[in-house]
Amino acid sequence: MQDTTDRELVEAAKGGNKQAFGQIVARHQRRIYRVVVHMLRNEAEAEEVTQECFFRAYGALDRFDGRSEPFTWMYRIAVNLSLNMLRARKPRGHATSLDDPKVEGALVERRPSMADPVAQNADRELALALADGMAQLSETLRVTLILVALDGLSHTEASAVLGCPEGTVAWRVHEARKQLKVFLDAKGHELTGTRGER
Amino acid sequence: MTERRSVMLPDEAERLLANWAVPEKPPEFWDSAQARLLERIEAHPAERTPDGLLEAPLPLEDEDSESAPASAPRLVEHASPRDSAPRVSVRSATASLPEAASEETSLVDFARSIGPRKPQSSQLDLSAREMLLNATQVRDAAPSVEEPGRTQPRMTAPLRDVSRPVPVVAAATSSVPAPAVSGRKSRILMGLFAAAALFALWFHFQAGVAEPAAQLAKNEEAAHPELVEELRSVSPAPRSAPQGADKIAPEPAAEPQIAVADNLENLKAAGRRDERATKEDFRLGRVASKREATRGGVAVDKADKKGKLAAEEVQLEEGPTVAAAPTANAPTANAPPQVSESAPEKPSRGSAAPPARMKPADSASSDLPEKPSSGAVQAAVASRLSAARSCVSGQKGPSSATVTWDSNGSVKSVSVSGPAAGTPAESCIKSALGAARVKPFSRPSYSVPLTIRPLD
Repeated sequence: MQDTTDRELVEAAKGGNKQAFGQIVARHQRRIYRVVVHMLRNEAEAEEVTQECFFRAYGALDRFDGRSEPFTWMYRIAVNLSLNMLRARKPRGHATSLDDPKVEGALVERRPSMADPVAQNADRELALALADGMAQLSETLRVTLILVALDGLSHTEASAVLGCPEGTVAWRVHEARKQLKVFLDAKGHELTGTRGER
Repeated sequence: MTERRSVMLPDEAERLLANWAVPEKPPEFWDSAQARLLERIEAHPAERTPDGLLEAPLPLEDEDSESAPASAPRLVEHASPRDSAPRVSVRSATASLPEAASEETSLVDFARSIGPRKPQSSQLDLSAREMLLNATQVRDAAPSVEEPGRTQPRMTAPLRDVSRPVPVVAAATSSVPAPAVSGRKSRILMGLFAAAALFALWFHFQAGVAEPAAQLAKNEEAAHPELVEELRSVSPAPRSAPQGADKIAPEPAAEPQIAVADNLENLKAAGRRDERATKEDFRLGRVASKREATRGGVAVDKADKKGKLAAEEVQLEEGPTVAAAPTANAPTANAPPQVSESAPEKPSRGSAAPPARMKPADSASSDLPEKPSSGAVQAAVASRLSAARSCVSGQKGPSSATVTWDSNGSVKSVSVSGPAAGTPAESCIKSALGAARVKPFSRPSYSVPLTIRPLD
């Protein structure tokens, strides 16, 4: 079943093959979890939403019309569930704490520089500033930036997830980066190697 | 060579964004999560998912309207104090616009809503212009109504002012086919009111003349359809005025347009882009502006908006150019699915665009590098690597993947070896790396080996 495509698995799952759906889950649950963590910045909630995403996807398999890829379709469900979760939360300050999984993940990823305490501190500051900056973006810009810049979706895929034209995705990413840049500048992160605008 | 034109964060920040991992879970966690899910599905097999979860998650924002579908709802979350401008006249003017009719809209919002959607607003503009044209010809039939001192300056006004899009604020609400006026100069306003009153009086006493005059206007339209078409089209270049059309008062008619443009300027001044971005947008907007100019559109006040889309279009010029070039693998336009999903975006505006963008084949092939630069490969892979690494999280050792690009820059194949091979992670890695696009090159293909290390 390794060579079976997602579409074939979905068709099999539609026919009641739960193992096929289990294969879909095994393929995509890490990516779904990853994007949900970026959106919610809370591991426990992300686990819950990931589980819910696949459960809801299974309940809607008969409405998957095949116009998009199954994984972008599930991304859309995950984004909707994450937004519901965010909107249901009580408003809280957007200051990012050091135990935020987003910051922690960033520091884990950049482990080679950890030997240098100065670099470690700079990394931490930058991760905090970026997380804060992203929290200040509008919901639309933030979600688009997460999908494209952090999760690596192409504009085509992101437009399929968000249901908007690719040009809109490109503009949102552009605008989100611009606002982040202003935010970082205001925070004093005048970093080296700035590529700036081209 | 056209570079991707977008704001780039500092290198460290970009690297952090592209490789921003999340704390990973062990494989047992995912196995148990999968098992729990299947149990839940067994327990509640018939639970129906709400339709809302399957719909597009986010509404389009105001700024998205350039590329938004016409039915998209508009957000007002960025409303500025400027939006508290007088609204009454605008609401009356938008009465014929189905999307805007139900909302209270500021002048700025109104201008933005009609600005980018020329095809939809053109009907509105046409009706205003037709009314103006009719009024002109009715006046021609009765030149004695004009004040002698004012007739002469109007004669010199260029016709294109008449043919500009004219807001129907005054024209649509007036029962008399008088030209739209603005309140900038009360003297002119009063003069126009006096002229309108005289005009109405004249109509009242000489109704027998007015009807033939209107009929004359219709006859003129029927006799010279090309002239009417010319008047309807918007052209930045001055043209010779058709008979009688220069006698209309174009200055007052043009002023509301200026007011709307002023609002757009205010919006820009207060707006959400800094000066650098505006300059860049204007620079990028040249492509769109040139197209607008060839169509005779008024592109200047929209150039920055167009620039956003032009950024995408400029970027697109590279892909199709090489795909059309007769290189060794020229037929790779029919690429495998994972390639096509990252292939250059479809030309969203105008299906006739791709042939126009194609460069001559010989110049395209001679410009191509033999192989993609290491920087380009790194950039293409870096944005995808974190997703690929998340595929193998929890596995014991690193896996290897070889990404092979086709000469058109799209991924031809991804082969995976090591612990991930033969597991669900293999297709996950292929999916993640399959969209790592590079710029076109002249070799038939180019391969790069990668090591996919687990995140934890």
